[in-house]
Amino acid sequence: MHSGVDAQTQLDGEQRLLSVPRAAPTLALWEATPSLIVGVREMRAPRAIPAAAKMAAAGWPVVVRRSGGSAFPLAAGVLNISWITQAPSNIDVGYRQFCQAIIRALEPFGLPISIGPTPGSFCDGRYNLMVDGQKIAGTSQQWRRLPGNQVRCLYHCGLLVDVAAPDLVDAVNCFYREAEAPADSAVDAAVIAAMSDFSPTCTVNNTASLLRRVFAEITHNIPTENLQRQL
Amino acid sequence: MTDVIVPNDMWDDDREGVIVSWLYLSGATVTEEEVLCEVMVEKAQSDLLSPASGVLTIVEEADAIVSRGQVIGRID
Repeated sequence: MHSGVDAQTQLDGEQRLLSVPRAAPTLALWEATPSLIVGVREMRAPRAIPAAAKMAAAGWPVVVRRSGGSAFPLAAGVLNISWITQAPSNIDVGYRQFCQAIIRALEPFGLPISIGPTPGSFCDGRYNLMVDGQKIAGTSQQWRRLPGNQVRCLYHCGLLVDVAAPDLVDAVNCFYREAEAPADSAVDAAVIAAMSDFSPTCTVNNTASLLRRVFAEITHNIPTENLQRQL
Repeated sequence: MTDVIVPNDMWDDDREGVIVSWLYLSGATVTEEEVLCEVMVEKAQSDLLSPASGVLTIVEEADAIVSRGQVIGRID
């Protein structure tokens, strides 16, 4: 697992993996130094640029990703799961497979993990992982079309394993406030939690071990229709 | 003329997506299978490839809300 590297370097590494044609499915587990990942739209807020400078000075450099989506904080204790493989038949099928694999990996912790939207959370979507209604992870996908009619997919999950969730929320809200983003961008700290809030035995290292085991199994058992899918 | 269409099988239901960006301007000459634009729905971003070679006319600009099957550009 890679840790202690800045977010931009880690995200660039993901993009390189996604661009390798005919590569075997690849799992990357990584942590990054504190940073805020924001979408291009958020950088159009009236004072986004000075806000980004202020966040950097406060130890939260802002990294702009090319895609959409809203701000997501990275820090030690946030385990990033990057899974690069053939694209699924559609995005919903892919999300369900990816989320179920993570839930299966985390079963030993005994947490009642569900999948769904978490209104008020940062970077909300339909396929968050939640415990008791609190978001512990967000997921996303990026599809890349490569020569030879190949479609590869980068699944990403930012899993709050062992981190002070209120600090992450504060960082996101500070950026939004300074950027003069729309008021409804504000994140509700009550809907965000880390796995360690529910189970003190959760650490980045033991979580990563469980994930490696399950994704290794999946590598040898990818549904045939996905392998043969041509878009 | 060939339409540039958001694929019908990109997602399950009637949610709407958004055009994140076009990689070319209207009037640009493009080649079949080049990436023309990026569409995002449900935090999933996908390249859209040119269905033909020719001159691109953008029908729906970046940030436009789009549906599956919608025509977002033309190649002449």
